[in-house]
Amino acid sequence: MTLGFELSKVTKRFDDFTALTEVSFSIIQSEHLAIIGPSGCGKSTLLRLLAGLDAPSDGVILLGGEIISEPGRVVTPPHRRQIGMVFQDLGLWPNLTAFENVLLGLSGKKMSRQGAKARALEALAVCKIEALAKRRPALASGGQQQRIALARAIAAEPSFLFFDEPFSGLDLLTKLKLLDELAELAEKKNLTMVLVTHDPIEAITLCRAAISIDKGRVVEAGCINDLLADPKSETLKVFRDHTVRLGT
Amino acid sequence: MISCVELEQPGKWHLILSGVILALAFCPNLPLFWLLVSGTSSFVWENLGPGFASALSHSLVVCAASSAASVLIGLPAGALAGLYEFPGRRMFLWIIAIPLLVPSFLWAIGLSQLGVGLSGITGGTYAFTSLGLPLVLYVTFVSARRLTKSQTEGVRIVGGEWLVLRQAVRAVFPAAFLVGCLSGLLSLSDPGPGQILGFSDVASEILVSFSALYDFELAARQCLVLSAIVAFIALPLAILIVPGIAPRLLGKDIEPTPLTNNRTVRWLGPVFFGAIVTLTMGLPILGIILPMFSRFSWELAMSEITRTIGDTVFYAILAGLFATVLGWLLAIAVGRGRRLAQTAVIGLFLLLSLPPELGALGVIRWGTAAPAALDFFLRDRTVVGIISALRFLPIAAIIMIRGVGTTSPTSALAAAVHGIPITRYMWRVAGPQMIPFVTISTAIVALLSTASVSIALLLRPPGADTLPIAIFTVMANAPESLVATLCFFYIAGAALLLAAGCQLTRWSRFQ
Repeated sequence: MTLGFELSKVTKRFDDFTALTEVSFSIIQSEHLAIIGPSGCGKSTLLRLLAGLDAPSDGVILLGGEIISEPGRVVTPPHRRQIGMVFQDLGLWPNLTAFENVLLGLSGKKMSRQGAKARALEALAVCKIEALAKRRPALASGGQQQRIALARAIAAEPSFLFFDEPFSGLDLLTKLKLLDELAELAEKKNLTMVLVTHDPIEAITLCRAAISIDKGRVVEAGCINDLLADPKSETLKVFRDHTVRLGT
Repeated sequence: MISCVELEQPGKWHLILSGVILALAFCPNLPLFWLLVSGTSSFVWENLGPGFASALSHSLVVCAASSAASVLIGLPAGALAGLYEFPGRRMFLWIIAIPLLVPSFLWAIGLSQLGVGLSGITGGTYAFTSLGLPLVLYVTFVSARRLTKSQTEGVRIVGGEWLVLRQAVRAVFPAAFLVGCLSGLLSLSDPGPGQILGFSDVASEILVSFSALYDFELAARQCLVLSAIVAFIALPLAILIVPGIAPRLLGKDIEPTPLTNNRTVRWLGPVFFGAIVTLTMGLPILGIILPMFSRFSWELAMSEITRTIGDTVFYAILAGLFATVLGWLLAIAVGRGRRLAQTAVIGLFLLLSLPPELGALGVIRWGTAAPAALDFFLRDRTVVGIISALRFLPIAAIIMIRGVGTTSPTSALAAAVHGIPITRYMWRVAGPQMIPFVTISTAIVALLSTASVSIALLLRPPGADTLPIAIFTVMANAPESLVATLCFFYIAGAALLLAAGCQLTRWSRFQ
């Protein structure tokens, strides 16, 4: 069991508003972790701190035992954290084709132009969108755009993949198909995944472990099935009650 | 390596860079303010020249009347065009932009040559309304297009079409009122119509003091009084209205309300817009071209145009590019910070309200005080372009802030996660996305700076005239047909550029 990210009493304040309060947990390598909670509870802020897109106000974040973020300072920048990230609005570069999106994503890595091209094509193939290589994101469907964002995220072969509610705009069928393929891909590539979501269905489909956040504090953490058996957070309680009512 | 994440994160550099750019834009105004602070000039009313008080009262009457007329006509017209489809809507919206791109005195020349008694303060109000009305109309139109489908449909279900129009007018009124007042303030510092339509106004007084009486101190005093009056009106507007409007610049593109087909508007729209175009543009243009029928001064006009075209284009392009670059930097500095955007827009509004003569006279002051070694800059053509750019920086900055606001905030964050150098990101992603905004900003500032004669009139080196200045200076002595031909060429050129711009933006939408 190799230690990945570790958060120790992390607090994040924006002026007078406290988004996260003394959050502590660890992410073990190869784990698939869901961060669940209602809208505005601090999930995305937490993911931004893990990614190094923001610095904590208090507390420290470690990666492999080394401090990567400390109060008011990002010690290790995002691109040195071995992460790939799929954003809520995907963050695709609209003026570039799918292939160029993936290729430009590799420009921060030290590799030859030919090597980068080959890697980009491979990532598109893994995500089953080789045919869309020359298409701009605006001309692709919602599900295809997700795949382009995913291809860009995995092309650099990161150890950790972060998802910030990227599936919320998709229909149920497309979403479930994507989640299944993603689980398969993560297994194959031995990826550690962190999924931020307010939808327990996404969490159950993709992850085995979960932490539940409410009002900036960790309410419960553990194996997702155990959490559902005896939920403490409102989100999981409501979900459990609904699934019981539906008899699933 | 600076990370792309810096673009989207709050930090002191945002504030510092915004402050530096705004300070730079205010810089040319400082020498005259220094006169005030250092006490080298005494400010008693008698020191402002014998006709200044009456000129000021004329200007204020024209300012108030043209602002009111612009809002009264421009507001309903803009709301109609923003909410309803009617025959000729696109064409009318295109044509109505022309007055914004030509010097105000051309309109005054047209009115004076019509010989229908439109002179003096009435003529001045008419001419300035022709210029203020399109500004109000466009701002109202854009604001109405920012209303969402659900907003208008919700109101329509509750109270029908009349309520939709009333609520839309109410929603866009603050922006329209602000721009109406701004157009009035801009009229205070425009010497063109007053000189041609035979009423003394404050901007003409300043110009006469400097160019005819060669009394810099008097011009400076008059300019400072005008600036104080402008600031007195503009400051409360900036503090009360701008903060509510500025955040809309940062909003992402929304799905606008679809244009409605309404039986009444189908005939009312073309009639209303037809009347606006005829009265504000048709009549002045008719007045301009009438003398051309008696004699078409092709050769004389061409010789004037070839003499001035080089300098006109040089000033225009330099102003357009410099303002756009500064505007883009300011937009990057402002980022998506709501408070910073509000502060910056207040500063930009005040900057635009100030008379252009203030900055131009300030540079002249520098020119006389600075060592001769700086003449290569302070007395060169370049300074005309740069001061014009600083004058119209607010326009460029607002276009660029809007441009940056339409891009996705996660675009730069994704680049940061992938370790893309900021220069590469700007070159490959942010830059290409901003091309339409850069093009529009450069073109608009170039045309506005050419149309505004004050700065070039005061700062141009001998012989380096622009076409509007050539018209302005020859109109008293040259044959009417020559002036008419020159005016016609200018308006036709502006209309062609506008048409090209419209095509370009349409084209870029499909890219």
